[in-house]
Amino acid sequence: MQTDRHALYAKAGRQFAPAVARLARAFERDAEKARDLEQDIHCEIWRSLERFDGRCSLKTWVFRVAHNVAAEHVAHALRQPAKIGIEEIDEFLVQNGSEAQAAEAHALDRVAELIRRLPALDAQLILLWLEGEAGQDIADITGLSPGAATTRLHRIRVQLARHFEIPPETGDER
Amino acid sequence: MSKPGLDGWAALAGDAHFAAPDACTARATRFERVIRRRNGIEYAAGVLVIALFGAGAIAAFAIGEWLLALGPLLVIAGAVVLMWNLHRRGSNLERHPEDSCVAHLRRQLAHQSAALRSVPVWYIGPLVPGVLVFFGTVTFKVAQQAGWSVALSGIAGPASGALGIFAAVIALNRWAASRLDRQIADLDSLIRHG
Repeated sequence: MQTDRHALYAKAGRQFAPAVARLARAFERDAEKARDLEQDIHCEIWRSLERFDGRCSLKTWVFRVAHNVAAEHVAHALRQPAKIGIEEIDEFLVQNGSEAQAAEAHALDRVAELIRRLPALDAQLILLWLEGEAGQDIADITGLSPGAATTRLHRIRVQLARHFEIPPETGDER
Repeated sequence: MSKPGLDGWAALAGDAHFAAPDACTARATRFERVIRRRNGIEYAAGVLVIALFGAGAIAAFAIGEWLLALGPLLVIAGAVVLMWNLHRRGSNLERHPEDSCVAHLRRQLAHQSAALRSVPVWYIGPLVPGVLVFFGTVTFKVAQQAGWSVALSGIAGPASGALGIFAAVIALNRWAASRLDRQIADLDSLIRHG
């Protein structure tokens, strides 16, 4: 069983370490705290894999642990920026825009800043979408119904599309 | 998996790798550190209460006032029960971060809400008998010397203050629980309607 756990952890690391790092850096602006969060996620994944029973895919398991630990990290932060709703995304991005906003790195920074300002579940939806996840996978990770996840993500995408070049919605996402 | 949502996103942190499992053996995660720190503060406050009321009980014993020692002893017993409750509630904390985000968040909110709503029972309740006996015995002793009107007027302020603090703690916790309940309701609505 321990061998399975080590093998699963190694496999998860090979496949998802960059996604976990991106998630940690999106949820936490401070670089040192982001590294700390990243390590917390690794350790929570390692510990949780003792319970891995194959009832969901390894990807779903890893993403759930990562997102839940990151959401807890934000919830326990001493100073949290005021949260905004989906309908305020447009206004937020306008206020946080600048002439340099077309630059790709700056765009990614703005999205990360937006992620930190959204309630946990909406932040998780955006991150999963950024990672290229869609439809049933997002539903499995978040626990929302596929319809609910798609509807909410669509509302977010409409707002983001006013500020960023994003690919059109495909059948995969529904 | 479909195309990543934003150009450049997937290229970030490409060289990241997981920490070695050995590094996790001794590592307390932030969640564990937060719980540990919070419990540490509560335990320290409990020890302070025990020390202060213990000194009061010893002083009462020293002058042969057995009745006056009863209140502080009950407060100490209440503080011990309170700390035990803290320990028990911390140990019972189920943690399954591998659950879906909604299930995990909902369970945490519900756990916090239940803990806040039951504060009168597990947090305030154990201290009430000691406080009541303490005020009662002091009032009785003063009444024996100076009469009931003097005793009651003297105790009215401190007793109202203590009960006011208890009431404020309960009210604040109920208010916080109501906020959490609204978040749970929003979450349930989100699950149902998106």
